[in-house]
Amino acid sequence: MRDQVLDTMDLERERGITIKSHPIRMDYKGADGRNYVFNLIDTPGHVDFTYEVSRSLAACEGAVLVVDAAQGVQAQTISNLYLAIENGLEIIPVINKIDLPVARIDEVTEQLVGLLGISENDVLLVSARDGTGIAELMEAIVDRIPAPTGDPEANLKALVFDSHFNAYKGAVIYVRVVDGVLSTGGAVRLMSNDRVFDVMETGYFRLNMIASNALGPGEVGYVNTGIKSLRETKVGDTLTQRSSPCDTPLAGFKEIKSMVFSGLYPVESDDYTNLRDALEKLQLNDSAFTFEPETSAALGFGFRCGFLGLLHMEVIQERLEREYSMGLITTMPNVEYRVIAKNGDVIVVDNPAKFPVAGDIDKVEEPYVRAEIIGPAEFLGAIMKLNQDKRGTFVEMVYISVDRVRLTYELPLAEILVDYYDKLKSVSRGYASLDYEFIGHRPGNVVRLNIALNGDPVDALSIIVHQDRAFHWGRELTSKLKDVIPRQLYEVAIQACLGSRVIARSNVRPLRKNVTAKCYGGDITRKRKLLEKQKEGKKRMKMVGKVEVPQEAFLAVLKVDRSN
Amino acid sequence: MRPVSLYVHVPFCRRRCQYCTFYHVPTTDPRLEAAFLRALAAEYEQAEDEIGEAFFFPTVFIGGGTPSVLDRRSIEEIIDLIAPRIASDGAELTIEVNPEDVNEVLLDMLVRSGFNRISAGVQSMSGPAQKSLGRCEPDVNHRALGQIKNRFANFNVDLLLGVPGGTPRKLMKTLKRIEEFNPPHLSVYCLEPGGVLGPSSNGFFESVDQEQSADEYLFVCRELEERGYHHYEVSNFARPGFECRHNLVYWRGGEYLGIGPSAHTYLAGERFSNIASIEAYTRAQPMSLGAIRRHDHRDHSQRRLETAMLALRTSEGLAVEDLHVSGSVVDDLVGERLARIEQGRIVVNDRGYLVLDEIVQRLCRQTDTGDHGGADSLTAKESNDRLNKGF
Repeated sequence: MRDQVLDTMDLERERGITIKSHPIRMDYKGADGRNYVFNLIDTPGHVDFTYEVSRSLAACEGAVLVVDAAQGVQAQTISNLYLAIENGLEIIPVINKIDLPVARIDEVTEQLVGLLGISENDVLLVSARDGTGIAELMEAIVDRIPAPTGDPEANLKALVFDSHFNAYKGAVIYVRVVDGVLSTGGAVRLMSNDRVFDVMETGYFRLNMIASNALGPGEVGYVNTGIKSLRETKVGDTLTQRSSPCDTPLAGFKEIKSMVFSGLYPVESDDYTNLRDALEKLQLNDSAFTFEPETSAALGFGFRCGFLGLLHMEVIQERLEREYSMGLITTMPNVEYRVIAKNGDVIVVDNPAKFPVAGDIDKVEEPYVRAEIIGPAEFLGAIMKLNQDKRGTFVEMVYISVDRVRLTYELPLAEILVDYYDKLKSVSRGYASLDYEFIGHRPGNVVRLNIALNGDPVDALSIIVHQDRAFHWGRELTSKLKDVIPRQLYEVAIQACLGSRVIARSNVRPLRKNVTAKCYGGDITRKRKLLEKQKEGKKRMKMVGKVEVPQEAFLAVLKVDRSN
Repeated sequence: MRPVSLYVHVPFCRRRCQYCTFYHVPTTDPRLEAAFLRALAAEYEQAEDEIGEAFFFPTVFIGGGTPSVLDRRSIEEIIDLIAPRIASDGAELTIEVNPEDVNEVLLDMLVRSGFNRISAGVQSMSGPAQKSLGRCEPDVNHRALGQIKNRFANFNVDLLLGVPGGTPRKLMKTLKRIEEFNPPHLSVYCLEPGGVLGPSSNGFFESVDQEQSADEYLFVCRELEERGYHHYEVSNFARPGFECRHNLVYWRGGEYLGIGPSAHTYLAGERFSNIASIEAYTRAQPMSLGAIRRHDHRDHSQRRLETAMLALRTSEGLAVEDLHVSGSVVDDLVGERLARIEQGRIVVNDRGYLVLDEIVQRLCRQTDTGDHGGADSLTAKESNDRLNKGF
């Protein structure tokens, strides 16, 4: 059997992460000789998918909290733990990978004991690789996690905790039946939007989906709805019978909202339609991803896309490039600003190019997050300095073990988007971990910084930055662009401007020489192929006016060092 | 009668020059030479049959490799083979020589065989430069040029730019020493690390400085133009009337037959290349064109790219109406003083020649989408029909 058997996307397997929930059913013969059925759900851990994780947890009675013996408790361990506690789950703490030479079992045990207020004996030591402790874990599941309760005679009440789209079967929703029985052929209703459909097929998960006629209380399975998109089958919704619905939907349903936005443009404008088709296909399987058409003076026709967070954005972009082999230009990610104009209008801005001119603005509000950082105490100073530099407000500091600290800060989300995570990893030699949640909009003193190439502002290079940092950003950005934009036929003047005021500039000197001097003996083919090869390289460039701008330039801002 | 130019590739050299990317073998083995001549004659006969209709050679170019390492009788044999088709009046017959091979006996024979143009691989008149290139002493060049000039009114001097350690001042010395012979034609090439040259093992070419090459190129352009030379192609300068007619055929899209290993052919709108291996070439028994030559399939946009890149190399330029880019692309080139418009044609200047590949890319950027026909617009069907009919 291959590794990471439930993580079926190439991306998941390559990065060793879980992006999508993966349920599976397991039969187990207990030490007491009785047969048990486990309904297991492997959840993502990343902050971007917190809502999905919370719904998967709501579908469960208990949670196996797996902590890596070498890495110890991470920020996301804690946030997922809180989610589990909020959902009233029984928690079985497990330290995995104890066979690693760098395993720090005592220390990690101490962290878990401190975190959960449990005794050392409650922590299970496991090596999934060599099988150590697996038998004990299975028995602990039987002993500690309560069997599901639920009334098979009651009206149907099932939690939708995930879904995927199948070209033949339509939306396939993943459910946990709470009460009643879900049967193939029954007429059912989604309670958030009153969408009614007939259950085309129902069944449960092994490595593949296995059809069965009915799912009873406590069972996890799938429903083929025949609905043509995922837009109506929302995670967290309650599924009930059409004719005799349950009284109240399950608690905790939320409409999910994009937090991070970025422009996606085809390098070749001919690819616009292909890009739209590809985005539509991706959206079929990922209702959290949104997009709408937009135009840029520099980049032409494209889309403004909304994502749950940075990982979500990266995943979508990578899948587009990989599965649809498309040359893409991604603009700098940004958050959504609420701009209150002098005339009282409130404008929601998700694209820096649409940020109003300074004179029209009364005030601006930007999204804030509460960030939890866990790291070794020895890096405390560096982590605190990083948060200060990122406009963070200190909230709390707690030692979770002798030398591990949990720090809480409130930060503008925009500050986390750019290079926060890389910086955090670098100041903590990779040991600190981050988790955050959205806590609302707050006033922010931000301005729009424009970049002009040869005197013409390039809308797709505009960014919104904090007033106090505008000069630093301008300098850094013009110098980064100078490195990224290759020498070409003509000189390129790069300017950073606040309004009409130029605050920084740099120059790309024109190319001196690019010619194959020798072209005789009649070998025209070779020369042509050389040109074609050069042309291949230019395909990843966008003509902006008469300037060739490489894809990376639109993300150059991500590489700006803002710590100084 | 149909004019078809002829190129003969002689792959033999005494030794390998690191900067050369033309196919060559460092041997002068007489048995291999004999086998080469037999295969060459066989290929030539097949090609004659293939072209079929009456044709003649307005120009012949024997290049290499080093044709001057051939035995005298071998050169005569080649001439005997092709003589019936050489234009009776005003044909241009060029042969490349290494200055080391030049002596009165060789030159006598070349004159008697009908050659009227010599191309001499001089490269430089600086001792250190010649040494680093692995070429002969400047004095050998000097003596050879004197002898060539005595016997030939039309000859070319090959020079190399960008030789490590070079400066425009040192280059001036080379030009001064060459000026003495008042060559009617000069070809000037830049050493190109990793590009035309390919990787080298000794690090020599890695030290070639593109800025230095560019400085030297602009310097040579200015000096030669001031001396009245016509800069008629990126690398070629001629006294008026002494432009190399054979090379102009390549750049103008004229037809040519290439024979010998690695030789290239352009007939009826189609390009072919011969196998670059003397062993495979001589072993093809009986000789068949199918066994030694490959057809280079080109689609519309590739044909247009070729036409544009070739025309833009010359001072004749490319008709603006054949371009499919917006006028601003041309205006920018003119505005930035990289090109000028002459009678509806865009002509690249010296600074522009240095970045010609970039210019071609800009001018052809939009032509690859959609099918607009173009300067060279055979449809695939037309060219297939022609192929099936033979030439």
